[in-house]
Amino acid sequence: MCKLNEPEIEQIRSGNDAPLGRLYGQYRQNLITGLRSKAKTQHSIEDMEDALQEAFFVIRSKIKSPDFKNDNVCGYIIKIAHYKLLDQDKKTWRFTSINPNEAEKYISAKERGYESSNIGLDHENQTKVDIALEVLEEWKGPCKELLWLAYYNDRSNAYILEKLKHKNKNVLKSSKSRCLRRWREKINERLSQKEQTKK
Amino acid sequence: MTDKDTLIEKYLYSELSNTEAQQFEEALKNDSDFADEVELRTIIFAKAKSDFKKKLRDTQREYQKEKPTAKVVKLNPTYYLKRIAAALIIGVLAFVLYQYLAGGSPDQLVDNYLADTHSSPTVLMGDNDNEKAWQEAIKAYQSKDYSASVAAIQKIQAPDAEQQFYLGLSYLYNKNYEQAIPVLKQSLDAKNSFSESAQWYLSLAYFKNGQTDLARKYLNIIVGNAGWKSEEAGKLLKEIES
Repeated sequence: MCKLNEPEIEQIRSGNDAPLGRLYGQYRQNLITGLRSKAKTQHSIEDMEDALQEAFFVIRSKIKSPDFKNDNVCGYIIKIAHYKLLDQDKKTWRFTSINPNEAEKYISAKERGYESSNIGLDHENQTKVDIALEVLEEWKGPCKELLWLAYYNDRSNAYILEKLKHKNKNVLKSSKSRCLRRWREKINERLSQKEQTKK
Repeated sequence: MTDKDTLIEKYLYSELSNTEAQQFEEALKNDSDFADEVELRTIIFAKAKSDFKKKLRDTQREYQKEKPTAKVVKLNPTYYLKRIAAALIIGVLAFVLYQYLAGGSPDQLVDNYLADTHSSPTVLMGDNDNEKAWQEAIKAYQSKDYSASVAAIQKIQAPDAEQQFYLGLSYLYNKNYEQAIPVLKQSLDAKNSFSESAQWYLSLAYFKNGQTDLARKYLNIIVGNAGWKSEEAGKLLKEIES
């Protein structure tokens, strides 16, 4: 059966994504069949796979919410993937210069060694993304750990409070803002260094 | 009013309502700190998603390889005794199976192939009549009640390629070969993602319906394509010819 059991749900909640990998590895073909049937129209296998992977990423976040109900997970995944396939995201991602979807495609393509000039982000934003990630990777210390736990691992405030020994939610909130500002400063420093080297 | 943190979270997961989208747009225009936070969180979110998708792809590849994992064997006095007993049992079973398959008729071989039923489609949620009938058909197919799955698929108006294929399979497993043949032939001719599977089941349906020449024709194509079930098709052809 295409489902997650309760111990697996707990594993995901504690930051281990392996059960989701297991579900995807084991049921990828069934999920594609289900998605194809729901979509009714023709989509390439690559588009369907990408939509399913997007849906798994959403489910990963949903599972971490205490309201998550563990019934018919695969039906839910197909429903989300179908929504992704219809490209509904476009309507809400029109506001910002760095579109989350395009940034993800750019990072993924770069890591796979594909030609980056053809990927959605313009050159300026590609540089910004590269430098931001470069700085983050080199950065050591509590700020990096906080940003990583909160925004990369999508851990709850309760968990971070416990783990990083912050006094309360307000302290945590201001720490997050301070660390984001620090990250921005580091990015700007690196960008201006790069500009100077060019000159 | 949704707080800014939730607003960014919802934006990244594309879950903003229309009101929240307006609020988000306003904040982006008028609050440079907010705009800055959105940009940075977008980058880290994109990185997290890219890495997560990579993990899924890697796991998928592992599943495809199906590598047997090496086990650490703890030796004890009964170790060799257990292994010898297991080897004997496997040997006897293999011999019985060989006698059963190699010594059996092609008809028996086809029955064995048909006993290994094609996996069922995924159950979906849905409220309209077509989706309800499809859910009913899937459940019936899963419980091997093929008359019920045929009846349920027949309720669907303009069945799609997948539903058409499972209608053919339901007829076949219900031993209604004359009905199965035209439906599976239609799936084969449609040249969609079910055609390859339909070709295999069509050849079995022809065989069971006594149309051995046609069964042979499609089995030869499967062997020639060297794709799905080509090994089984080759084995069956050999049995038919002998």
